[in-house]
Amino acid sequence: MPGTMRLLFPLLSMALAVVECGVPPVFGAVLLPAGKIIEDTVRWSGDVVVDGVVLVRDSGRLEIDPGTTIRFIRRDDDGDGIGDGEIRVEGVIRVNGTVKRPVIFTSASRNPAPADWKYLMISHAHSAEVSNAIFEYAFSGVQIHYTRGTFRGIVSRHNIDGFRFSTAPVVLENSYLVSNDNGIRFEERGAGAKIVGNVISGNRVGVFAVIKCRGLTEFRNNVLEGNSGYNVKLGEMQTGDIPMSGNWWGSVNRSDIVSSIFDGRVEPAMGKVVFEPYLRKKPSVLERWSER
Amino acid sequence: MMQKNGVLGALPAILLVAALAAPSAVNACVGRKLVLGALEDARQGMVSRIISILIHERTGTTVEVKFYAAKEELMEDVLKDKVDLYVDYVEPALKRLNDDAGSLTGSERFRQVKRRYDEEMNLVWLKPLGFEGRTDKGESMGLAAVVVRKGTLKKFPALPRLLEKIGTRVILDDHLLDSLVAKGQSVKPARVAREFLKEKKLI
Repeated sequence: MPGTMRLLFPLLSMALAVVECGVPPVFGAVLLPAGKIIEDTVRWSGDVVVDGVVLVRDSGRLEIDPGTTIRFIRRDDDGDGIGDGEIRVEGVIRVNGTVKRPVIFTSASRNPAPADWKYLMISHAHSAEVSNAIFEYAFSGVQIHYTRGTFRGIVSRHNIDGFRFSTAPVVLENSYLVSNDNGIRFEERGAGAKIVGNVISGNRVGVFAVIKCRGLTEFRNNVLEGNSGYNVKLGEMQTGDIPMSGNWWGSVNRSDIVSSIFDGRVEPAMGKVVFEPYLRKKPSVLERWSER
Repeated sequence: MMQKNGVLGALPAILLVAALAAPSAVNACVGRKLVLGALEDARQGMVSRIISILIHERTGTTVEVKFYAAKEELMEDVLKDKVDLYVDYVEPALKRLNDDAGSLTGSERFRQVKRRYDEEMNLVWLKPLGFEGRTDKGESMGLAAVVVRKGTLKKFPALPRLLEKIGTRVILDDHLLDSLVAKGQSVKPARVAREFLKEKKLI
């Protein structure tokens, strides 16, 4: 019987991927059904299709090889308008993409849309190291809470939130956050992050500092331009200032920069974005990703 | 393909166990959510969009707008804690309380409703929005205000300060509301609401 299962499982997986409504067939992909739990070291490569929730438990470690594509089947069993597919990490995750062979987290739908799947959620986990990965068509490409994490060379696009963190001393470097509703959404809650050398552009809001930010996060050498609503927006209860000097705002005209920020200059009860001194020319970051 | 220390054959058994012990997605952090109840009429449709967009944009909280054909159904869900906030009018509220309010003036009638809803129903009337409700026959239903469950206010203490901007910083009077509703006939109401809030620098 086990031998039969060994033969049948890949075929069954492939068949399921093929018949799922609106999902283009991915031949040879491994289908992970709802409730997949990882409790020790697991390595993914090639094509992986996720249907539901994959949980990396406290004891688990998920390693993802360069060139791996992870597709999330769109389903919304709880009816909240957001796809249920997610990877939730409580243990360790290593995403080992390269510039030429990034790891891709995407929707399995034929006509993908933001929020087709939920997120890569890293919460109360041991650690996260993510290099050269693309996150698209999620509710949040990445959410990280109460965990140290390093993210380098990621592209997060066509999501509601591109990169969302709270209470997490994360490092986000050399990454593209584009075409999201919010490029970055964060709440410090006592933990400072480092956001350096990223392009945050073409979103509705570039950076949304929601609440409880006390200026612990370093924003430096980022490109913050061309976000249709605001380059930076503070939440209603964000009363402290946000230091953001040393970034490029798409202009050297101070009033242009001010008009791209929603903060205490508009609503006196809120803090202000301290953007001066600002860069006088656009930093040459991320050319390597420009054609993606 | 996936390898698990070379023990791919064990996968079916693992999947079986995993399926039985499926993790719950109930606690997924997609942000906090509020349910805003609204009646299926053009004015409440516009006001509910203004409120929901304002809350979402300023706090990041997701607001689900749930429409009701009848006020009784809406109130039933409010009292069952299925709706966090809604817009109500003074006169029908007094009627619901079986309170004719005697010869009280408009603002006194508002205070009467506010006090009794707070004491008897754990519902808090925020400051009036600026416009008055109207029946189909054009009769006044009194001042309109956002009504919020007390339990909701404990979780979202910023709501009064935020929502009362609609009645103080920007007076959403009958004329202004009617003009927004009229715009909403040709443009999507949500877009009209968003542009209005943006123009008033509320978002």
